[in-house]
Amino acid sequence: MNGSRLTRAIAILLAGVLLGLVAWGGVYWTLTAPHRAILREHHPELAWLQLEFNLSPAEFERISALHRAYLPYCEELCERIAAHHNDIRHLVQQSTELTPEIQSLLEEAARVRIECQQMMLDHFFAVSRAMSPEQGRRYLAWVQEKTFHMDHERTAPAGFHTGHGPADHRHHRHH
Amino acid sequence: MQSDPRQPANPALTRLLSTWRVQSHLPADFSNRVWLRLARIDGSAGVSIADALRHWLSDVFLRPTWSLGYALVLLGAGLLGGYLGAREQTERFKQHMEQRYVQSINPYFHPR
Repeated sequence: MNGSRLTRAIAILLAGVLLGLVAWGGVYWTLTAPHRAILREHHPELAWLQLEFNLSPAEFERISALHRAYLPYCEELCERIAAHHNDIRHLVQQSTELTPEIQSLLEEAARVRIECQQMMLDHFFAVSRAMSPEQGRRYLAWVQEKTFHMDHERTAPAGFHTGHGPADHRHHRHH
Repeated sequence: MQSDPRQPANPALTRLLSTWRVQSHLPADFSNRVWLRLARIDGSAGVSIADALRHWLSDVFLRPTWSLGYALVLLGAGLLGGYLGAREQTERFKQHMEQRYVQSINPYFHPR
């Protein structure tokens, strides 16, 4: 067999494979470039919100300001929820019946929960008003479904949940 | 009645035929070519997979239409694979960012 013919055939074979890999990488890299750009932002979740809800720069500024103003209250509530959760768990472990102390803490946890939901709803309405009416409606529907649905699905009421508590809410990552 | 063709009908003709010689010149490399063909016939009985693959590669990939088709198929597969991979990644990214946003605004939210 002619060696140069075989070499040329193998070169064509490898060039085809290389072409396929370059095409794969090029398309993947191009289509996922916006994700990498978002992750480089200081607040990636806000940058994503801008992309997802097609926010103008002015809308994005207003929503970013609302977000920054909201976060300290959110963090404070998170700490109160975590403290209640720990107190309730501690008391429940030491008791064999529902004591007035436990009852009082449960009531306080319920009040914190209501306060938390009111604060969140107030923030959601404020954010939706900062968007165009159509996107605002879409945002409200989406965020209520995500927050209240997940609240119900993933956590027990008033943080009364074994294993993981609201303390796991990682504010340090986003605040 | 016909005579038997295997029996010499004419002894004189038989003698004459036995003295006949073909006066023809063979090509110079005739003998060599015969031996080469015999060698190929002998070798074909035991062709290895590697040899067959080499033959096939040379045969297929040096045909312009085949090699062009091969390149186009791999190009198309690469483009489609990249698109599908990016679409899947976009869906994962969206879920991840949704979770991050919700986590940042909901004090009760925590991943299970």
